[in-house]
Amino acid sequence: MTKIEIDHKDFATSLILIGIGGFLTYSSLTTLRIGTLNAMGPGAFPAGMGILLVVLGAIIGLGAIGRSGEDISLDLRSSFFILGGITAFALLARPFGLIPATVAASLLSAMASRRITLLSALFATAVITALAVGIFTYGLGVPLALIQWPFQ
Amino acid sequence: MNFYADLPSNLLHGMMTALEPMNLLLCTVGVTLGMLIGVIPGVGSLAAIALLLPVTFHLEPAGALIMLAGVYYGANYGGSTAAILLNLPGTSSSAVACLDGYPMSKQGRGGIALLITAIASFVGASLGITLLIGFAPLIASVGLQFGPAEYFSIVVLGLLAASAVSSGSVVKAIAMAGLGVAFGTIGLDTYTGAQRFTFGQVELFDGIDLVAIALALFGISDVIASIRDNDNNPTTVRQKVTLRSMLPTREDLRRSWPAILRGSSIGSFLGPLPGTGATLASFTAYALEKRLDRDPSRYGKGAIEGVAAPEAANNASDQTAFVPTLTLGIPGTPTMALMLGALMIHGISPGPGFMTSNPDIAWGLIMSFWIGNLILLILNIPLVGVWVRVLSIPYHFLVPAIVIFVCVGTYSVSNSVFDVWMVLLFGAGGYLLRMLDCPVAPLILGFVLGPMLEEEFRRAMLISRSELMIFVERPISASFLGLAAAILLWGLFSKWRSTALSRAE
Repeated sequence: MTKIEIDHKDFATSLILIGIGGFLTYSSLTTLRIGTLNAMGPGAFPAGMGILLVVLGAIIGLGAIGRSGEDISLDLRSSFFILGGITAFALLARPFGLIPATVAASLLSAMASRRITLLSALFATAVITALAVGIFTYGLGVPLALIQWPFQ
Repeated sequence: MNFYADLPSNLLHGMMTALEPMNLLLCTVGVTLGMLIGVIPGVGSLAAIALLLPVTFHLEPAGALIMLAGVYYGANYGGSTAAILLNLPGTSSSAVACLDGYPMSKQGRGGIALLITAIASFVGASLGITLLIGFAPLIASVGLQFGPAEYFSIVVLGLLAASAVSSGSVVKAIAMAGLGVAFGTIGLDTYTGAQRFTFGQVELFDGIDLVAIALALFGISDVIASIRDNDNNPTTVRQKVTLRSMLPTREDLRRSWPAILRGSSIGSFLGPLPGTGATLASFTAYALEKRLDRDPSRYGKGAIEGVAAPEAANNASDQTAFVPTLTLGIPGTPTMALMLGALMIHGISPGPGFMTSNPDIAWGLIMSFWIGNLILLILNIPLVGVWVRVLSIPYHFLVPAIVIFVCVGTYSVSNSVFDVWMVLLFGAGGYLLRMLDCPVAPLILGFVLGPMLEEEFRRAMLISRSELMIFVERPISASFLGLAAAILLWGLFSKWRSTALSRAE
């Protein structure tokens, strides 16, 4: 059996579009009122957009079959540390305050680069934390505790 | 033509607003920060504006816009600087600057290229601003006669045109614009108050925050995508830029002037067309110079016209791009979409009435363009050497700085951790889409224009008693849709032809 060539990038795009478009249309039809063209309900426009996305996804998907393309190459290490940094910030900011959240997020995201050393990550974090406190807390008056202990 | 009667007093008024010490300061800060961020490889004017959006929320609307506009052209100039000195374009529009700017740099003429770029930018911007002043009131008065059908059609035109000119597959770009429109429907329905796709989250009732989605797509996903490149090719600045090295020869000036004027004209013309943006302007200007020259072989080897014309063109188009944004409330490019978003967050919705109801902001902004460009020319150009030193900061220091700025910036908009989670979601999604060669710029345009698209469609249906023909029966609306179809076909055809050509080789 000969293997059918496929453009992985376009095929994945197609799946994403069909998935989101399908959800949009299904969810609009089942949970929102469609109404009439004269008095469109809240569901009509999203349902239509969903169908459009599915159609575009199908066009891209069909075009991807029988054609080879570049492989999808994700930088998993960088993604992990950057997204991990954002997660750390979101989790720590409210309970522990700006400084712990910034330090954790900065250290994690600094690890995204393969060239960084622990010492320079610590140095960068110190500078960035000072800047963040200066700009956001003192400059713009963002109401977020600098540092606190949430457990009494 | 009574709308020109007030022009002199409006201009004067605008100049006074722009010259207020606070606004002058914000303009300077904006241009400077813009340059600083713009020279960072992989970070363009879109990301620069997105990064500074949260900061401007704490300012007056006029000051906020003046600062953001300053960031916009400061970042564009910074992008050209990185392109000329390092062959690293920050944005697609400054990619043209690499073609002849980098060879000039290698010949030790980088300083001259930078100065000519600055002069070309100033001249281009000046022509663009003049045309903006001349045409904005006229277009606003035409816009007053637009009904929902015309608005719907022009939004369709904007979305399709922006998709057709973006690099890569046209269908993917349209799909991304559609995805943006889809994300724009999240929140309470304006007509009925019904919850749409909110999953019961109170934070989503007003929709996804524009700052969160913009920072995720242009801050986070950009950074993840560029780390690997920077790890493999760390940037090094070879050339020192001194003031003396920036002095052009008489020959350089003689060659540059006509190129600058041609570039400015092309840019001014292309700027207000929906979706075209600075990239098309600079590429067109470059192509024209090459065609007009008696010796096209000089291009790509350090021809000064190849730097001057595109830079004039992209700055002229940057200014005239404000025409549809300010007069109709319809941004033609993602950057303009962010500017519009900034206005809306301050409770101002631009449209035909905007220039008459908020003359302070509208004319103050327009006048500040000139001042900003002047500040760029006299204050920041001599400091180019300093900005370039930003490039010697290793990229791995910039990564955590950008991540923190995005996180705290997003949080500060409405003190919401939920918005930071949105950054995580869209940052991851945006990175995946980027890696699948899907352009994310049309997504943000669709996100901003989507609610408008839906509202105008529903209004048109209400007025016409559900007669879909209204869009083609009204002549202005029909011509917008016709133009959209033509641009779409042209886009598909030129992509098809270029792939056919590359396969034939």
